[in-house]
Amino acid sequence: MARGVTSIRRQLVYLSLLLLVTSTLAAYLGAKAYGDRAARISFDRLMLGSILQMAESISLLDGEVVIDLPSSAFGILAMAQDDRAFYGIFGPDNQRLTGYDDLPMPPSDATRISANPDMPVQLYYYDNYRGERVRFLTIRKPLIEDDRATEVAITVGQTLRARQALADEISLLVLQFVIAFTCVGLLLLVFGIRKILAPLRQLKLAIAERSPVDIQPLRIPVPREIEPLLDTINHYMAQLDSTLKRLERFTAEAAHQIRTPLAGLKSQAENALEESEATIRHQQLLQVVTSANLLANTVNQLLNQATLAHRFQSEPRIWVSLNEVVESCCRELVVWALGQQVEIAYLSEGEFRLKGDDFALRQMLRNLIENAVKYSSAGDIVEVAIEAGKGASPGSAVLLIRDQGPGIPDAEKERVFERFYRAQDNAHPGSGIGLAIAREVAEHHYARLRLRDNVPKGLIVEVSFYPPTVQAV
Amino acid sequence: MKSCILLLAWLIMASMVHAGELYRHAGRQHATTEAPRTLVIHGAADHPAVAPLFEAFLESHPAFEILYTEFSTLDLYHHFIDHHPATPDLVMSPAMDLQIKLVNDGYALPYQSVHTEALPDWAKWRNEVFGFTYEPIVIALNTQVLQGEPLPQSRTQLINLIRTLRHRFHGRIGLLDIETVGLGYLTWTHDSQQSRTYGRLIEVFGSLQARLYPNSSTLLEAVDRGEVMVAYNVLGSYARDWAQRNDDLAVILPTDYTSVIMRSAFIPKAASRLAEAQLFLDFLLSTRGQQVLANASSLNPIDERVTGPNSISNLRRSTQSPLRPIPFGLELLLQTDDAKRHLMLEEWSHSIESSFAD
Repeated sequence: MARGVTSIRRQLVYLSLLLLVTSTLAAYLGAKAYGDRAARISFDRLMLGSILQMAESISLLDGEVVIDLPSSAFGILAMAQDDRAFYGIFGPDNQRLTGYDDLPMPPSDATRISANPDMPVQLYYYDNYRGERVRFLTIRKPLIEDDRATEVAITVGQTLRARQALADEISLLVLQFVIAFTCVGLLLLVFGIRKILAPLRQLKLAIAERSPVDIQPLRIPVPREIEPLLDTINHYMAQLDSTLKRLERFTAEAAHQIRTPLAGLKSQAENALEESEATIRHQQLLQVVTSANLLANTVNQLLNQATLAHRFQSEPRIWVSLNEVVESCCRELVVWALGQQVEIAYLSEGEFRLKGDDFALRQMLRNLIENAVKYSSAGDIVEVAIEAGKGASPGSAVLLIRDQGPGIPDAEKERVFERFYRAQDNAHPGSGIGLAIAREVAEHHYARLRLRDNVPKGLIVEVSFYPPTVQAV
Repeated sequence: MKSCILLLAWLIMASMVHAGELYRHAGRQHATTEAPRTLVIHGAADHPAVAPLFEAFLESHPAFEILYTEFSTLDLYHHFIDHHPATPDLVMSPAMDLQIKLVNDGYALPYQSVHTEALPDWAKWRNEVFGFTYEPIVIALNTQVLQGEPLPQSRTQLINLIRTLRHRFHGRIGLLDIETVGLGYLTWTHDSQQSRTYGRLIEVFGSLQARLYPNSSTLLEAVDRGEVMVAYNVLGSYARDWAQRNDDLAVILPTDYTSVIMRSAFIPKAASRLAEAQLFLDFLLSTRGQQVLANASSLNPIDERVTGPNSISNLRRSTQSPLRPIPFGLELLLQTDDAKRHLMLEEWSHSIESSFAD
C-alpha cells in the first residue's frame, strides 16, 4: 500500500528539484570537461608556437646541424608563468644536439595531429619528468642542404600549472553561472508551483465559503486541467440536489398518503361512535379495521423500502440460490393465494445462483407474486417460472411471473414503477410502493425488470439476471 | 674545427671545478650552546660583500654558525650538479640563468612566507628562487684616459671615444671572460639580444685586443691600477665600491640602457637543514636584512622600502638611464642552451681571442 496522502506540490517540487540538480550537475561536469579541453588546446598551441620557432632556427650548414634558438621561443613558453619547461633537439640517431638529453620519447598512443601538409606532424603526450607531470610535444624536421639531407626531432615539454589554473578558472566561472542559474531556477520553481496550484486553492476556498445548503453549481474560472474536477463536483452536487428533491417529494407524498387514510379512519371511527344501531356500528367498525390494515400495510412497505435501502449500502453481496428463494416464496404464499381461490404454479428450468441480497430478493418476489394474485380472478393460475436466458444473452437467467388478470395498458407500464402511483380505475387496495421496491431490488442485482402482456390476457413480469451476477449451477 | 676544440676546452674546464674558498662565521653562543645550529651556504658573492649580512644574522641568532663557500658562478653551478644530492642549505648566485636552470631542473624547494610574498612577482619564480639584490651592470672607466674628452654616457659614445683614442685603449680594455665567468656570459648574451651596438662593440673590443679577467673584482682592480682603462659590464655594486676609493674611477650607467641583474637564492630540495635555510632566507628578504645590505655591504638591496645610497630608489633617482632588468624566468633557459653557448663562444673567440694571435 502506497502512502495514503500525497501532495501534488511536494511531488512537483521533488521532481523539479531532481531535474534542476541533474541539469546543474550535467552543466558543471560539461563545463569542467570544456575548461580542461580549452586549457589544453590553448597551451598546446603555445607549445606548438614555441616549437615551430625552434624548428625555424635549425639549419644545415656544411653538413653540420646549426641551432640558434630565438629567445622568443622561450618567451612564449614563459607565458605560462609558473611552469617549468623542457626542450631537446635530437639528431638522426637520437643523439642529443642541445637541451635536455633524458626527455621521454613519445609513446605509441600519443595524440597525433597532422592538420595540413605545411605543418609537421605533432605528437602530444603526457609523462612524468623530473618530479612533475609534463605535457610534451614532439615534431620532426627534415633538413636539406644541396644533396645532403637529415632529420632532427624537437621535443618541448611544459608542466601543467597554468593549464590547471586556466581550466579551474573557466570551470569556476561556469560554476558561478550555474549556481546563479540554479538559484533563479529555484525561485521560478517556487513561484511557478504556487501559481499552478492557485486554482486548486481557490476551488477549495470557494467550496469552503459556501453555506451547507447551497448546492448551486460552482462557477469559477479554472484551468482546463481542473475543469473535469469542477465538472465532477458540479455533477455530484446536481445529483445531490435531485436526490434531496426526490426525498422531499417522497416525504411529502408519504405524508399525504398516510394523512388521507388517517382522515378516513378518523371519520369512520367518529361515525361508529355516533351510530346507535349495533349492526351498522359493527359494520362501520369492520371498515375501520380494514382501513387500519391498509394503512399498516403502507407503513410496512415504506419501512421495508427504508430497510432495503439501508441493506443495499451495508450488507455485502453473497451467493444465493435463486431456485430456493423462488420456491420458498411460492410456498409461503400458496396458502394465502388459495384463500383468494388462485393457484400458484412454480416451474424451474435449470438451477441458478445469484450474487446479492437474499432478503431483498424475497421482498421483490413477494411483492410481484402478491400483485399477480391480487389482480387474478377466482380460479386463475399464477405461474412463477425460472428460465435460462436465450438468444443475445447467454448465461443469463430469467424470472417470469405470469397472471391472467386485466393487465396494464402500455401507457402505464412505466408509470406503475413510480412510487405511490396508482391507476385511476384501480379498484384494488394497495400502497403503490410494491413495484417501486421490486425495481429497486432488480437494479441492485443489475437485473432488468420489464412488463409484458400475457396471451390472451394478463401481465408478465420479467426479471432478467445477467452474468456475472448470475451463474448456472 | 676550432670551435670543437674550444668547446672541448670549455668542457674540460667545466669538469675541473674549483673547490671554492670556505669562510666560517660563528655566533656568540655557538660554542657554548647545547643546541648549536649550522647553515651551509654556497655563493658567488665576494666574501667581504656578504660578511656583514652573516654577522647581522648571527647577532639575532647567536647559536648559529654559517659556513660560506665562495665560488665563481660557473663553478658554483657545476659543483652543485656534480655533488648532488650532497647540497648546501642555500645557493646564492648572481648568474640568474644558471639559477633558473637549476630550479627548472627540479632541484629547488618551494617556500612561502610573509617575506617571500612581499617580493614583487618579477623578482621570484615559482616561489622557489628569490631575488634579493638589484644591481646595475655598469662601465667603469679610468678618467685619466680621457685627457679633456667628455666622459662617455652611452655605448655609442664609448665606442666613439675608443675609436678616437685608439692607441690609448689598445690592449687596455677589460672584459669578463665569458667562457669562465657565468655573469660575464649572462650580461654579454643579454647585450646580444638587446643592443644594436653589440656588433660594433665586439668588433672594437676584438680589434683592440681586450683583456679577459676571471671576475669583477680583479677586473676592477686592473682599472684601479691603470692596467686597463675601461671595464665593460661589471657589477655596479663593486664598481661603486672601488670608485669611492679612487677618484679617477668613473662609474657609467649607459644611457641607451642599463642592464640590471638580481642575485638570487634558493633552498635545494636535498638540503639537510631546511629550517635553518628558511630562517636565513627570511632574514635575507626582510627589511632588516635588506637594510644591512644597503648600509654595510656594497650590494644593492631589492626591497624598495630600504633607504640609503645603495637603495633602488636612490639608484633610480641618480640616473636617467633606462634600467632594463634581465627578466627572471623561463626566458633565461636560452642562456643555458648548449648550442647557443657554442655559437656565442665561437663568435667571441673569433673576434676577441683571435686578436691575440694577430
